[in-house]
Parts: sequence; C-alpha cells; structure tokens
Amino acid sequence: MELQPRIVLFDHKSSFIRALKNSLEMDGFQVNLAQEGDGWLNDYEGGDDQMILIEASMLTRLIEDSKALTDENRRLTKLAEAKAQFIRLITHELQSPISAVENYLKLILGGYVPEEKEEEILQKCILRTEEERMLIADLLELGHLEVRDSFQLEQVNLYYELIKILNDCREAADEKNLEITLEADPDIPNIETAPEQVRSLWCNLISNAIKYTPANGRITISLIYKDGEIQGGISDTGIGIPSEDQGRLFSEFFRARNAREEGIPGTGLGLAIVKRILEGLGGRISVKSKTGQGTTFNFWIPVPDEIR
Amino acid sequence: MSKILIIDDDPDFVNATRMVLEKEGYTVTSAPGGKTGIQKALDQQPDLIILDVMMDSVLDGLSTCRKMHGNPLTSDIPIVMVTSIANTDYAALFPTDEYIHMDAFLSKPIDPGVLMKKVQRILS
Repeated sequence: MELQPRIVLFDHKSSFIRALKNSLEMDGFQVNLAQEGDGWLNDYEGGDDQMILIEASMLTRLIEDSKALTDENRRLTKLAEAKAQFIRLITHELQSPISAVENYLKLILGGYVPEEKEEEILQKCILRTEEERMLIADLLELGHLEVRDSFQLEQVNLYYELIKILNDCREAADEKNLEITLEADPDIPNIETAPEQVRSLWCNLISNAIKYTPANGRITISLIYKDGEIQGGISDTGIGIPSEDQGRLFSEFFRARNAREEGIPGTGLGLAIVKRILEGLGGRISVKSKTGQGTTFNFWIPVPDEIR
Repeated sequence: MSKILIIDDDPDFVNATRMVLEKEGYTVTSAPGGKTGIQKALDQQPDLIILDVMMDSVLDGLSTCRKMHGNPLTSDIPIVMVTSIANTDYAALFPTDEYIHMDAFLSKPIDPGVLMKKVQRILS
C-alpha cells in the first residue's frame, strides 16, 4: 500500500495556515492542525505515516525569502541589460572618431581631396584622434570610479584643490578673456576621499564653464560650508543648456544639442563622472540654465560629524 | 543632377560623404538630426537620403525613417541607412516586430567606391 503523507500544521489560528490546510485537503492530503503542547504530538513516533511538520513562521519566512530572491534576480537582470546597452553605446562612441579619420584618409588616398584642402582635412583628423584619446581617458576614469576600493582615501580640502585647478585653468580662461570670480570660504572642513576625485570634480565643472562660455564672459565659483554640508556653485554666462536637454545632462555620452551644433568638442562623459563622484560622497548636484544666458551648477556634499 | 540629403550628427562624416558625392557631380545638402532632416526632406524633395541610425538619441535614425515613410510627401524617397555599430549588435537594437523601410545599408567608415556603387544603383 502506498503511504499517503500526513501533514501536520502548527498554529491553526493563522488564517494563512487554515487556507493552506484547505488547499492541501483538496489535493487529497490528510491534514491535522496542531499547536505547541498537544499531547499526541509529543508522543507521536511516526508510525506508518510520513509526517511533515511545518511551522507557520518558517513558511512565511520561506515565502518572503523566495520573493526577495525573485526581486533581486529581476534587479540583476535589469542591471546586466543596462550594462550591455552601455557597452553598445561605448562601442559606437569609440568607433565614431576612428571612422571619421579612416573616411578622410581614404578620401585623400582616393584623390577626392583637392591639394589645397588637404591640410584642413588632416587637421580635422588630428582633432578626431584627440577626441578618441579624451574619450578613452574619461572611460577609464568612469570605470575606475566603479571600483571604490582602488582609491587611497585622504583628508582632502575642496578649497585648496579648487585653487590648484584654477591655476591650471587660468591660461584657457585668459585666452577667451573670461573673468573668474571666486566667492569661496577657505575655512571649510576637509572630507575623506581621494584627492584625484575632488580634482576631477572641479576640473570637469570649471573646464565646462570655460568651454561653453563665449569670449569676454564671466564665471563665478562659490564654496561655503553650511548646515552640515559643503555647498559649491559654478555659474557662467555661457551658451546655456536647452530645457529639454537638462534631464539627460548627467547621462553618459549625452551632449546638449547646442553644444554639438556649435562643434564644441566633448565626450559627453564629464558630467556623468561629476555625478558619480558626488554620489560616492553621499552628495548631489543640480543644474539651472537658460539658453543664451548661462548655466549654474550647484552641488552639496554632507560632512559627517566626526570630521567636523 | 540628382539631389542627395545627408542626415547625420557627425559633421566630419557629412563633410567626407559630401566631398565624394560632390566630386561625382551630385548636389548635396545636410541636416544634423532627425527633426531638421525631415523638414529638409519635405522642403527640398531630394532624390535620395543618406541617414545615420544612431544620432543624438539612440535610434533617432530609425524613428526618422519611420516618420518619412509614413508621410506620403516623403515616402517615395529612397533611404540609405548608415551605422558604425557592428551588424550583430545593431540587430539587437532593432525592434523585431516592425518593418523598417530602407533601400540600402552602409556601415561606417564608408568606402567611397561602395558608396558610389550603392547611390548609382538606387538612382539609376
């Protein structure tokens, strides 16, 4: 005779257990309800029956675990999908400059370029190879940011790093006769991070301001400590960012329409890097801009109590 | 001589393609994106359109293609699609349930000889 497992469920007061009992009985199982202290349960030796003891709390936990695993699986699948999409984008971005150079060189060899235009075309080739190099450098930095442990953490002062970067950028700003105003408090607290991250933060924001501001414009940089946060701001009188482009501004490879149309070189990765650096520090960034009038970036970095 | 419209956000690609086509005697105009591209196609009624698939937004080219095909004023203009992504990766981006109207397919970088062969075949 085949043995039919007998199922004993604890905690018959739970409506879940009662529902489970009904459903098991409909499947033809014999189900007993039991609770702690039932005399027959302690004496039960198994006999000819197979007995499965299921405790309500354990069942609930198993169901919760399984749900959590399903959710996690869904999240990881989505992440893998996003990564694959990102790699396709990277491939496209890396191929564009190389393709342009190859195109031009083939034209020169094929006799499509008149001699008087040859130098101009070769100059364009150089610009595209420079673009490729910048792209690779930015991609490496972006990849490096993913691996947080690879950074050597130090006490870093945003003000001192700002002064250093400003010195490096001075020449580019003078070239366009841009006036840079500093409204910064040297007395701000340090943060614990990698110095190269803070340099990259400033460098990307300031070089953007210089790049997208026409000659004789103004750039204002502010830096203060207030309400437990370091607050930084960079305003320029540049070409601005169209409002429909502002939402995607911090996405990898995205470049505002007017920046592309004016032929201003850029990888579309600078602000993505800035955003990741700030998020790694628990901070955030926002943008305000009007085309033809200028752009303001504000960022906030929380300073933990023990450092203050 | 035939008029050709190039829709591509990469000015160097536009420039290079223009040099080849102009040397062969075609009249060339260009647009940096799908929106202006469609407008120019309507206004200028070119004999052929060379269209990049990946412009500012991913697959901007595909939606441009669809819009032009859906408009009777532009639906008869042949389209050559251009991309720099490898064909297999590119295929993954394509919506599989839809018919994409195009007359030829070119991959970047473009070989001047191949470009001319395809253009001449379509326009003959």
